[in-house]
Order: sequence, then structure tokens, then C-alpha cells
Amino acid sequence: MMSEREICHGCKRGIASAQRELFDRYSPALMAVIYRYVGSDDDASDVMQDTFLKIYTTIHSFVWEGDGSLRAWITRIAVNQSLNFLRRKKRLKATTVPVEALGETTSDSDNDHLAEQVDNIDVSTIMQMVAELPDGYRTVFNLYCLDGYSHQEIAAQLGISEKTSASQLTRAKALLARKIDSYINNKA
Amino acid sequence: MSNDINNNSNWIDALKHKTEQATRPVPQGTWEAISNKLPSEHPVAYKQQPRLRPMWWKAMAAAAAIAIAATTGFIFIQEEENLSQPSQLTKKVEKRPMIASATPADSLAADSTRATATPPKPALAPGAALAKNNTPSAPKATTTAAPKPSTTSKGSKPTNAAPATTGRDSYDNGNLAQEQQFDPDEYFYDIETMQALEELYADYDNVMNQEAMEPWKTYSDTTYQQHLAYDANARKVAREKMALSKKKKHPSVLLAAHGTGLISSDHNSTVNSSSASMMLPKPSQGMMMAPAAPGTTSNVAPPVNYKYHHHMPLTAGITFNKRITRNLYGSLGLNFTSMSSDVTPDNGAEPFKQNINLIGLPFGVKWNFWKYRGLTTFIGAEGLMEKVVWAKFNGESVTIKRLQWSIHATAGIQYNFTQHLGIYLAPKLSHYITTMPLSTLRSEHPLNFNLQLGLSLDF
Repeated sequence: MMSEREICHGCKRGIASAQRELFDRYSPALMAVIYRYVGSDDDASDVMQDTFLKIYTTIHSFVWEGDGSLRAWITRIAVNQSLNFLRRKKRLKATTVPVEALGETTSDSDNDHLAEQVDNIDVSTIMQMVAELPDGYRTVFNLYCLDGYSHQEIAAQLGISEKTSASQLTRAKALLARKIDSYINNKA
Repeated sequence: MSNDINNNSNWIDALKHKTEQATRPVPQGTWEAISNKLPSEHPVAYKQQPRLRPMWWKAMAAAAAIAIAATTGFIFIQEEENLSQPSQLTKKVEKRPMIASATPADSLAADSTRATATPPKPALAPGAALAKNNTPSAPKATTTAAPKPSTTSKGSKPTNAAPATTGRDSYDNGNLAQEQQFDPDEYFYDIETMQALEELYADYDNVMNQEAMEPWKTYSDTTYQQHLAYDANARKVAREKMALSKKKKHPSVLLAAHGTGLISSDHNSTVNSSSASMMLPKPSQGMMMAPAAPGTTSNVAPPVNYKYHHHMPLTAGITFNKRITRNLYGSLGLNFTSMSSDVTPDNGAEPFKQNINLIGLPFGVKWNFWKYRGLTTFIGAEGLMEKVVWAKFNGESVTIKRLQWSIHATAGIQYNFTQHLGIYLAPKLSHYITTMPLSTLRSEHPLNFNLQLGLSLDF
């Protein structure tokens, strides 16, 4: 089994076996990341191809900095490709959801309760809940909460203001919390 | 990234932790789709060396320029050599030795009946000998009628002063143009006359060849032997003309060629030097004919065998590979091949050169089936279409219009120093389908195996 470093060097030299190993090892995780952003498997498959093509053709610019650096790098590419896809499809407009549909803001005690509920929900359901968020909310939520971007970076990426980004995030979190709560209640 | 990620609440952290481990099944065929779309076999490694990138274009341009310059230059040099030298025919005439003695009949026969360039008649010329013996085999050959002016003057020219030489040279210098404008209608005989003439020339050739075998009897230099080789070519031209007229006009009376020309795939090629299929003027145009000489035979002279020593063909060319799919390349190129051979007649004549130059258009496919780092192994199939740009046999140009086709199979290994430049070593199996009317290494070994070492530019 090739190490991450070997995969990296192999891909840099254009070795087919290394390229295949990279694909086999990381494509399921990348598929999940892309699915979180684009919201459907069909679109995720298309973006996935673009992502790996981008990886193979730009890996010369990647500098390996230890285990995990390659994965972080290709995840970033997957995110960028997903955003490009959404941008091409003009699905990055700020989303507006009626306030009443968002429910109440969560308190600290609610947070703890929600955390327990999240632990009891399987990953695919969580992924589906995220995917069902409106495009704008989902994008900001993914970028901020799951992939660690700041509002400044999100604003620059999406061409919106930081305030809009923060607002979208608040609404996304509220909507998702409500979905989780609803799911747990229905399950019970 | 900002630190405000830390503001995530507990449930968000839990959700993040869950999604980090998330995977989704990848649709089948995704890898195939990706691998087919990969734009380059070596997409990355060498882009880290930008200082080398401009060199590829320079190297490619230099290689192309060298190949084109070498090909063009070689052709021009050869053509200049041809232009700067007097024609082989002129040289032959100038070098032709004086003949010790000959009769007017000799000259007449030589001048009038030999439509192609032939060696000078020796003292024992068939015309003189034949004139003494009136056999009934050639009744029409003895008539002399009102000829055309040119033929008449040629036929009646006194030749005692410088008998054979004068006659032959006057023929060579003055009547070659007429030979080129040969009209079969003017050279129509009945079959008996043709047979008589054939015997006459066979006898003549027999004598000539016997003397060629023993040149010390007549000549002190090798010029005469050179004539024999030259004569074979000249006769070939005459035979072709006769064959042409035979097809068009008089298939029943015109003589066919005896000789086999220069076509042979054996190492020792054979040229029959006793062709009787010459362009023959009508008796009414002043030709004086005589029957066969006593004591001489009508059999054709022994053939001249050529021994070939083929030099290694030299090929220079450039081939471009274009990626079709991930591992499959299509190739198209241009090359120039020069083949030379040393030819030695076994009749004692001096050796001479045979040169053939071809321009080729190779096309094919190459499949890279294994790669590791910069190392690639491949197999390929190639077709090659070649055109002979010029060919010479003993200084005489030979026109070969037929395209030369060959197929090649190769398997090799290539190491890429950079993204586009590599060195390769490839054993190659070649089969030359089309044969050439000249003996070459290819005609002797249509199926051959060679080893190629070269530089590869892949884009």
C-alpha cells in the first residue's frame, strides 16, 4: 500500500498507478464533501471528475508537508470545484427563508441537547439534512461550520458581504437544528 | 481562516465530526472517465523546472530544421553533381577506344542498325564476316533503297579513315535525339527479316562479349568493359520502347527483349547482354544487311552477373506523436533514407555504385502499456509509404515511380528526461511489401529486424 507521500510523488510524475491509488483512496470522502455542497449525487459525480482532473493537472504546485496535507489540499480543490459548479449554475444567490420557518434561536442548553441528538443520527441522514438546505444557506454552512472558512473568506468566495454571510449562516443553523429536532421527534 | 470557527456550538462540532468521516459511493465508470480526460501523460513533474520549458520548443524547432535541411541539402547536392557532370553517354563516347580496323559494312551495320548505344565493333565485326556468307535467312536485309536523307548519309558515310569510332560517335552524338523520337511505324519488318537481324546481333554480341572476357586481345584499358554495363542500360531502354510499340502496333513482328534488365532480388543479379530487340531501320532506308557469319553462333551471350555489397541504409527523420487516449498515441512523420551498394560485374568490368534515395511518410500508433516514473514501455505498429526521389545505377538515372510500402512492428522502452523529451530504445521488425526494380538490402531481406535508438518529442 502506497503512503500518502508516495502517492503524491507518483502523481507528480504522472504514474498511472499512483493516480489510481489517489482516486481509490480519497474519492469516497471527496464524493461526500462535494455532495454536501451540490446537494445531489448526479451533480456530485460531474464535479468529482472535474476535481480529480484538477488534482492531477495541478499537483505539481502542491508541496507535501506531512501526512494529511495531501488530503487537505484535495479537499480544498473539491470545495473550490463545487463552488465553481454552483456559480456556473447560478445557485449561489443569497437565500431567503421566512423567519417563521426558521424557528427559535437555540440556547446553550439546546445546543447540548442537539449535540446528543446529532450523535444519535447516522451520517447519511446528517448529510441528507445538510444537502436539503437551500443552496445559499448550505454553502455558507458548509464553508463556515464544516470546512473552517471565515466570513471574510466566504464573502470573497461567494461575492457577498460578510454580514450576509453571517446572516445566512444563522439561518442555516436554525433551519438545520429544526430539521434535526424534527427528525428526532418523528423517530421517537 | 478565521478563528471564528471556534464559535461553533457543541452540536455543530458534533455534526462536523460526523461529516468528516462521511463517505459516499462513487458511481461506476468515474475513474475511466477521468483517466480518459487526463490531458497529459506527465502532467506535473517537469513543470517544476520552468527554466527547461523553453528548451523544448527550441529542441523541437532545431530537430525539425536539421531534418529538413539535411534532406533538402542532400537532394540538392546530388542534383548538382548530376548537373555538373557531363552525361554518361558523352563520357562513354569520349572514352571509347579507337578500333583497329573495320569495314564500311561494319560501320554501316553499326550505324544503321544499332538504335541504342552499343560498344564499338571490334575488328571481328559481324557485318564484315556476315557479308561473305549469303545465307537465305535474310533476303530483305541485303536491299538498299531510297533512304531518308539522314539515314542515307549515315549509311553511306565512308568509315575507313576512322572506321568504327567515327561511325559510332556520329551515331551517338547525332542520332540519339532520333532515338528518343522513335516511331515504331518506321521500323516495321517482316518476321524473317527480324529473325535475321536478331541472329546478326546475337553474333555481334557474342563476339563482343568474348572479347570483353579477354580484353587484352583487343584493348589495353577497361573502357570497353564499362561499355558493356552501359550497354545493358541502353538496351533496356530500347527494349521498353520496342515492347511499347509491340503492344500498340505490331505485336506479331517486333522482337521481344531477351534480357531481364536489372531486376533481380538475388545477390548476384543477372543482366543478359545479348538483347536483339533494337530499333531497326527499314532496309529501304539504306541499311545493308548480311547473313550470319560462318563459324559464329547465334546463341545469346552469357549473362553478366552482378555482385552486390549493400551498405547500411541511413535514415533521418522526424516523427510527431499525438495523444489519442490516455496511453494511445498516433504518429505521423517524414523521413529520408539513403541506400547505397557497390556493384561488381563478374565479367571483369570495373565495379560501380548504385544509389537510391527515398522520402518516406511514416504513420502509425503507439500504445504505452506500462509506466513507472519516467520510464515507459510501449508497443507500436507503423506503415511507411516511400517515394524514390532519385536512383542511380552505374551513373545512369533510374526512374522508379512506384510507391514503396512497408509495415513495421515495434516494442520498446522510453525514458523521459522531461515532460516532452525522452530517449528510446526499440527493436523493430519490418516487412517491405513493395519490391524495387533494383537490388537493395530490402529486396534481399524483405523481412528484417533492426534496433532503433533515438530521441522522442511527445506533445
